[in-house]
Amino acid sequence: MTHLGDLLSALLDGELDSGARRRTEAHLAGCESCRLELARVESARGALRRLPMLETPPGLIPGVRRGRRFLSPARVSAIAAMAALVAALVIGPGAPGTAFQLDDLGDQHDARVVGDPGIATFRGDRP
Amino acid sequence: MGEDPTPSWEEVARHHGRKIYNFAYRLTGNPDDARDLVQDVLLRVRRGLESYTPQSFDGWLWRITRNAFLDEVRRRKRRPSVPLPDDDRGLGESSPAPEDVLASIRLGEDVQRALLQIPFEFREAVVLCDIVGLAYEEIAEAVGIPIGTVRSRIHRGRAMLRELLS
Repeated sequence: MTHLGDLLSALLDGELDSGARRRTEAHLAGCESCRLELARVESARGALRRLPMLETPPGLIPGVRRGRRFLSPARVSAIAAMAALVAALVIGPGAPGTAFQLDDLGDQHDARVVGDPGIATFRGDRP
Repeated sequence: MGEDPTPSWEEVARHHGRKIYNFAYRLTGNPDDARDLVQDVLLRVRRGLESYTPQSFDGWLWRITRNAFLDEVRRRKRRPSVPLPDDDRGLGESSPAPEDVLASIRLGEDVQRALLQIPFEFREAVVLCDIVGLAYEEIAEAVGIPIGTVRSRIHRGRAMLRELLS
């Protein structure tokens, strides 16, 4: 009897009708060589099917923007804190109606700004 | 299932774009080529949908994808060849660290390298079957060959891969 050959792959892929499947399985039961070949193609098939499905690069598919990040609450508060610091440095402490809480770095920077005669002149301060 | 209504271009892109990308990536091993192919295929699908009549959608889509791929391969053959980045691989290279070997197996780099070594018609058949997940009949329609040829290409392709991987 001839060996199964490509019927083995068709068996693995569910591409045989019930009659052909029964005949193929009956042959396999008594044929060591076909069982070995089945194991071989099955391992290659498994290796291919286990390959990871890759993501498409961002922007390639319309309406699917992978990699797009929305701002997390932690990031929003970090940006707000940075904005407050910048505002504090630009407006300066002691401006009417403002109260800023500066961290050490802000205080240090402000001390430099206040102590700088050039900036003091620009701001209209009298030394 | 009855006849599929004609999908919109955006639906095709969303539902099939990733598979088209993976098809091209596995055939070429190159992310830039895969990206170009997806763009080209989506363009052709957009034009082709105007005259599409409901039939086997997968057969239609993968025939377009395959033709776009082959056109691109032909175009490149006419251009001066650019050396592939891995041409000089292995020159004075020490053996990779064990964790790199494990990562490479996990990512299937060994399988990808083996795929690129088998002739195109077998590579295409196993990729359409095992990566894209098409039935034999859909592959026959996409490639334009009899179903018996599909079966033998898939089987021989797998046997070649197994040889290379052992």
